[in-house]
Amino acid sequence: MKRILKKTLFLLLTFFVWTSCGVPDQEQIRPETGSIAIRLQSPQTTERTLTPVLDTVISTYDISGTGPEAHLFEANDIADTMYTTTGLEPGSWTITVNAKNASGTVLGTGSTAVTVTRGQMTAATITMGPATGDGTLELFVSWPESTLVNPVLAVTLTDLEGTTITPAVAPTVTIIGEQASYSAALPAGFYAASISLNDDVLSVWSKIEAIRISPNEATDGTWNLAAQDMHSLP
Amino acid sequence: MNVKKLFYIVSALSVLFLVSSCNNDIILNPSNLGKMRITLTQDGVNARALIPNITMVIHSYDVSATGPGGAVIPLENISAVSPSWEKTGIIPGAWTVTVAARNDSSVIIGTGSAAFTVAPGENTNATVTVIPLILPGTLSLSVSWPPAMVPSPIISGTLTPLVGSAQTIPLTVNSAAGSAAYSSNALNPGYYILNLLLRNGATNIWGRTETVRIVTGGTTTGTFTLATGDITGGGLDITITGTLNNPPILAISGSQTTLTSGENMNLSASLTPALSGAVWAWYVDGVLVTGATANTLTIGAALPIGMHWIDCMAIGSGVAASDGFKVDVQ
Repeated sequence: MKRILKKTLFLLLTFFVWTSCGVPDQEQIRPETGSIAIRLQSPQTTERTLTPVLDTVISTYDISGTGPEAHLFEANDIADTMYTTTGLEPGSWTITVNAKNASGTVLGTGSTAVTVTRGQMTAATITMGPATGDGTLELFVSWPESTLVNPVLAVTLTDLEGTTITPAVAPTVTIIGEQASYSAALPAGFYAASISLNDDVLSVWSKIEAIRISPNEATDGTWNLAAQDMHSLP
Repeated sequence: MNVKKLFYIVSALSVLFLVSSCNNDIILNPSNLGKMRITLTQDGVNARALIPNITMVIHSYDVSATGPGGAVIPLENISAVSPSWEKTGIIPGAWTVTVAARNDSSVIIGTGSAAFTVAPGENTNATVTVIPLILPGTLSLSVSWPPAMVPSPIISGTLTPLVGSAQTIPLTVNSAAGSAAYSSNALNPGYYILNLLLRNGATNIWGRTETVRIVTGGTTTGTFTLATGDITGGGLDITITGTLNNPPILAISGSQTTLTSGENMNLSASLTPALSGAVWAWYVDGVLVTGATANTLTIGAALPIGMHWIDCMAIGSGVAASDGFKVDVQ
């Protein structure tokens, strides 16, 4: 009996070990493994018009008027593009409208002169345009270490008529290590910017961007270049 | 004649003597009776103001009197044309005359009374002043205006009695219809100063002060229909138009990240929203592609091996938009 018991235990142990180990038959019934190829692309594949990070949806209007003998009226946070007011002193009035986004930033402005007549409703249409004032253009370009010997960042601005623009205050160009920055104050509007990174006089990277400047806002453009992004290297 | 009969005769004579000797000679001596003449007048009943919808002109008077010992002169109606009432044969003593004034519809519009003493054998003149009834009346006000001229109407009103402090009257405003209304049937009769003020937002555009008269049982109506010319100053209808010159989105299709040397790619650019009269320009590595003035471009075969940046720009209607990509020519 004792011998039979030992044989039984041995067989059970052998079976346990056999089932626990990989065997060629089991490998064959496994599903075949696949493979994937991941291609990482630069996030700078495309570039769109450079604009300030600004909500450009009109939320409300502030309407004000200056009339004869310093009479004033003011109506703020009007949601509609139609507004009626009465009780105005007859005479010449200048009506001004500021369009604001939800954060209160003035996006557009317009004004008109109108004559108010006693006891009559006078129609006035105010054609609004983009807000005026200065904003800033901030450009940053970086490149791999030791790829450029004498880096130069050149930026040329032209207006929509193709005329080269010279900012009233000279732009600031700073190059520190492998980074170059450009900063300029510009009147609100659209520009074409030609941005070129040179090694001394040799252009190694350049592109054209449409740029929008808005009052009191910064328009940023950043390019972190890899070695292969530069079309000509010494 | 026995003693008993004599007693009755003496007693009867005594009583007759006593009766004839006392002050109560009203019945026994008509020449001692008095006469009274009542003149009727009114105070404020016929006054003119914002009047109720009942006639406030006195047409007749109901006159009655009560006197000493429960004496009563029954009610008589006399014409207001001759507002006096004369009675003779009046028992001397204290009398009270009560008067109710009626209009031509027999509505009582005022009351009055007076107390006086009628002396024996004399003419007594007295005056009774009729004043308006002191029972609640109704005031109904309505104001309307051109709604377009008053987009944010706020109307306030006060009613100030001649003696007393002003009370605010809550007018119900219907902005869309351009109207406001107030009605109360619990106003004491009398005269009031009514003040109405209409504002558009914070701007006063119309105001009115009226004298109002409230009469018992009557309805005083005030209707103020404002035309454009009634509103103080002038009005403006402002319409805002224009554009913020937000740039459209320029998108290039057909771009490739890599090209085999000598291979072309067909590029097409589009603007959302479309830009009327857009002028197109294409750039390779910042250099204008001469003659590329359409929104399409075939390029690649002439590009040298290496990385190139291709940009497209559109300008028109005061805005500019651009898009670009880089392509590796291998």
